[in-house]
Amino acid sequence: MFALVDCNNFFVSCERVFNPKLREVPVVVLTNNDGCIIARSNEAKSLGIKMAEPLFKCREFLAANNVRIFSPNFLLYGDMSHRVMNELQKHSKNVEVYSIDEAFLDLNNQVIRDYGVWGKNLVDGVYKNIGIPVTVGIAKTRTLAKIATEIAKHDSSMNGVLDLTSCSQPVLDNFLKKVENGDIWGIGRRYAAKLKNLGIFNAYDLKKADIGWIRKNFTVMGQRIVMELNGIPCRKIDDVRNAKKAIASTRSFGKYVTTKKEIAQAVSLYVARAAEKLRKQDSRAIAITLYIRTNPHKSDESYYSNSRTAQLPYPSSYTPDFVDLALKLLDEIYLPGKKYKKAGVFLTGIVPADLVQQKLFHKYSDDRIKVNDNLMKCLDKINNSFGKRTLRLASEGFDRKWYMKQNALSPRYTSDWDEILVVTN
Amino acid sequence: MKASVLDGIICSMKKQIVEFYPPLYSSSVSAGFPSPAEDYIDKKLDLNELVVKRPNSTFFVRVAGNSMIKAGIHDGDILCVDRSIEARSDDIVLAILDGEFTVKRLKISKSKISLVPENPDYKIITVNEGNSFEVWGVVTWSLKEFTSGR
Repeated sequence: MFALVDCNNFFVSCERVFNPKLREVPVVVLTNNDGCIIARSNEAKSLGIKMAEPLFKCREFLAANNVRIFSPNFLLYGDMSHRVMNELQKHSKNVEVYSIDEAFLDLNNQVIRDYGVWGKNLVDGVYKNIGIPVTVGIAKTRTLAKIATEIAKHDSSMNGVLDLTSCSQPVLDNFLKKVENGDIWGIGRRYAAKLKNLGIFNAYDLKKADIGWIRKNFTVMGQRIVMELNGIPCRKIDDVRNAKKAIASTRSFGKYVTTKKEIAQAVSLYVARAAEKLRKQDSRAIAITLYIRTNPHKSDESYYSNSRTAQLPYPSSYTPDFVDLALKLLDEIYLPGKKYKKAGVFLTGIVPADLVQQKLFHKYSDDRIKVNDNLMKCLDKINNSFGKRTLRLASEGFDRKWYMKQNALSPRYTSDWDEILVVTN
Repeated sequence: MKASVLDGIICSMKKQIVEFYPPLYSSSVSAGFPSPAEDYIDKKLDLNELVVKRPNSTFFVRVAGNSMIKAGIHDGDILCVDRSIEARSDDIVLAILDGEFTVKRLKISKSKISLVPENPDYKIITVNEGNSFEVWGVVTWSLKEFTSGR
């Protein structure tokens, strides 16, 4: 059995933990340079505010509707994410962090009598201990678990939990009929449209489709999706891209790694891979989270897991920007004498490359951005032709001395002593 | 070393002399001989280890105001708050009352919940049906600086 835990409106929820006045009102979080909207509360969604809407287009509408606006506080979001992921380990030994606010839990080596109760305990536990509301979907496969989470998210009567493990086929099929192609894990806009053209309109249609025909038209990936919809687990996390919210690049090490140098090499590689994925989908990202850990399955007490997030002042898809940050983060969290088993990077705050306003408060001039983009294009072309992966680029260094537009940044409640919550007593 | 431990060592030494057993080295102090391996050379006093028992659910807040002076909490103090602790009557809690944060002593009786200040200039707040109320976390430690950042 698998579960998918998804934080509800994560960035907004993080802000709400430290500012209860934000509850039940429309709230949006912007990209850096306050360019466009990357997160919305349910109330904001109800107002019709769209994802990735540029601020200049809807500023008046937001003001007229008393929508609270925040600049992105990735140090806060990264820290809260780390807490949530740690908390999940109390409910399952196999937590697979998928993005900054999502994780799959592999429940196959656990004895759980009632998955609904288990899910409720998880939701209640995360909310009590951290203040973040989450939704859990539980099913025989990761694909079905993700569908369960999506359904539960839009149905408040489910109280954040949907257990499909002991669901009868007719009931399950009814759920699947309401799930659009594009909401299935791993099916993007293009495939969703292609499926629709071929007469498959929802997850139920896809479940019933002929596997051989699917394999022919949608490769083995498509076949695996169908199998998973039919309750046969066969997909791994690494197979699927979650292009919208975050790009992850993580790997377990084949053998233990102990030196910082070795981890730095691996991290540089993961960053390069992630940035490549970013460029491939014509996006840029604002923040990078690095996490490293030792083996959680060993019973010895030296288990160590840590993560840290850094934020760029502008959205970027330029590998050196992220490599620099990642290595700085590694300096902060690396502890000597530990046997590291896994490392990973997440790029978050993803925006379309063309929606970004890069003018005034940018490290690079327009010309320089063009040069950087062309450099990356060239790099990607070379990598594609020769099949090699770039390990490390000479970096330009990172200068933070210039001003960045962040009009509505909330305090870094969990990472700066000068910015902790002040209670007027 | 504590007196009881020393006594233990002396007693067992006496025992061994009287009974002619060869001295035994053991890693457990209770057996009489402390092991050199117990001197954790690397270990330093770590405030995090002392104060933050559950990092996931622990947060720090700063107090502005003096409604809890008699509990030793003054304007400018930093409080360590743990969300995972089940709040009990008499705990000092960080609570949210009608959308505002406040630090008060929680009093729970059969009939009501009250937020009690520790300063005669402030009133006791009784939580009514009409209020929205939530315990955000329990205050576990406070940090007070005496040198004003000097």
